[in-house]
Amino acid sequence: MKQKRNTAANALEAHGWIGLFLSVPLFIIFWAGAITLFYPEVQRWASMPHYPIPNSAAPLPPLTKLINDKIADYPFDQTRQLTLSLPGEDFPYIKMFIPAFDSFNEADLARAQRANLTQSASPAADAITSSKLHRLIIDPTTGATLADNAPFELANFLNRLHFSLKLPQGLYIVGLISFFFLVLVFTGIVIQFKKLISNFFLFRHKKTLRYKMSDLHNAVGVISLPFGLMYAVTGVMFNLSIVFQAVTLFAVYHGSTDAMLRDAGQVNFSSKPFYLPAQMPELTPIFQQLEKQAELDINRLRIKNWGDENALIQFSGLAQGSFSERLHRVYSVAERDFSALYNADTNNVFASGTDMLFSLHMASFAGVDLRLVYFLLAIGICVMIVAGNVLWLVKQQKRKTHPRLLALMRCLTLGACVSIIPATALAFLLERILPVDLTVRSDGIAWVFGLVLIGGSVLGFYYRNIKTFIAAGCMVSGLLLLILCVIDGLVYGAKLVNLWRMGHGQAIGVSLALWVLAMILLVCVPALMFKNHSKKSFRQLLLPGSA
Amino acid sequence: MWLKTLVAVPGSLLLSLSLMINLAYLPAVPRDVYLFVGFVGGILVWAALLTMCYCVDGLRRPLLWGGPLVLVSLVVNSVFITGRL
Repeated sequence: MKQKRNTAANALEAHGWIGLFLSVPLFIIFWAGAITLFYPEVQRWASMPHYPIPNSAAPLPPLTKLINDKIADYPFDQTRQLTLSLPGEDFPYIKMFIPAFDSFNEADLARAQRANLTQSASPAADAITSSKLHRLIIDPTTGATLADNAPFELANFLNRLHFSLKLPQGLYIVGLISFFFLVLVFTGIVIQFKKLISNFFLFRHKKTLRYKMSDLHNAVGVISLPFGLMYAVTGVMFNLSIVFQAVTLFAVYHGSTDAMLRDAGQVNFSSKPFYLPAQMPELTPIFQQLEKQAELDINRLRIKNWGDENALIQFSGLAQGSFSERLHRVYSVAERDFSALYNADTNNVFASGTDMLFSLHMASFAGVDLRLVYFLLAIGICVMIVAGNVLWLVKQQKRKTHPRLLALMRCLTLGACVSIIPATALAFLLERILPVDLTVRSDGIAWVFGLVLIGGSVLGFYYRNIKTFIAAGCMVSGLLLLILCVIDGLVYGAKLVNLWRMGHGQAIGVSLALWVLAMILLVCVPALMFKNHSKKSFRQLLLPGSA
Repeated sequence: MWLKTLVAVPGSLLLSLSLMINLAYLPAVPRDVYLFVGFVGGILVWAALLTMCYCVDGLRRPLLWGGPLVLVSLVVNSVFITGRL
């Protein structure tokens, strides 16, 4: 019996400390992830009121001519990958990513140098200069360029915040955080194992705030257990796969990347140009034939060496009738066919398994209703993180150990977790009001978001009245969202209604959701400021000894 | 906690990776199945091993269980990798 008590106590100790250190980044990851669930809706809400409504029934313009026309406007770097994203659920317009040199002179020079170096078999042929990426938004009905600076990047920013925290090497940092989140799930199971069923519906609403928080933490933890487990495992898979890949490559495949990729159902989609200009095939018939033969809903084309004899064109999309399986077929211009060299076996357990887990993580298969459940579970985990953090802080404060560290974590938890709400609201407002052709639009929104988050976290150190701080955060966020909704109604109202009538209800849906959120946040303000929650106030809970 | 974390994180990773590579040399398992099971299983085993380390007092017991297991697993792997069987 003694051993079992020690096991649970040790697990609780690890759970508490790991949770405390991870709480702030984990909160940001889950918060951004919750919003990213509505990535297609946010993309449509941001962009569609600014552009002509596309006719989804009209056929796409001829793709080869479209590509040739667009790259002619830029000093195109054919050795880098050109990507074409077709209209779909995510975005109703064509997106084209064109790698280009800084000037046409530099492009000619680099092409000549590379051709010479390739003929003399120099290994330096592929590393002469770097190129930048032009991100075009194209009307799928007319083929006209609507923007070339990817102005609506809020959804992408939140997505990147989710998987990399927008930090250098953030991918691996988030991978490690996901791994420790998995350990938190496991230690949580060990702690709650005996009470997993009996305490499932326990919520002691007549007890003090501390008991309520404890019950909230446990109940949300148990309810969201399968969801949390899936997110933790897939988070490590996507962000720390390099560890497993590197060891498997060395120990099982003796360094052969091609062999490993082929067993994983993928191919090494890379080739160098021959520097022999060639007529590119008409892509639309190939595209249509592939959709019929391979039963594939193509939504993306990745192209290497466009305009060269050794061009490769990869068609990617979702297998028809499957909710998650993505298929890739590579067309070789040199062979005028789908070369076996670049096309892996489609019936692969690893590829279909990882695709399925990716879909589960992103909820990309789900409609709005199921994504709403995902959203509530993700926000539930955010609440669980804060509740768990507060519980551990209170427990450690009673022990009177590590007072400075606890004070730091208390202020950081309060500051960061509250200020992320106005930071997000302000980012949405800026996405709506900033001029579309502003060069620093996307970066500016990211910077403002970061500054509000950091500023709010710093304020958390100085603000002693916790309830007022949370109420202020709710009020600022609610007002920002309210201003946004007023602008949406007054300036874009007619367009949003017109979009809804034309079958693009996502944009007005986001506006209405933001209005509901604004109301909820503003209703929380008096509830926080004037309602006596329990005998123990927030302040007494977090700052024992304070009056 | 710090010492346990610093020792147990790389130690549990080494053991989980080594055990998953042992699986690769089971002849009956197709490679795509192995890669998927090894990938997902490796992550779960890594986290489970670390949780086990956290659940016991000190580092002595995890080292007593894990040390010999790592050694045996690594020897089996080195035999297969160098092709002596």
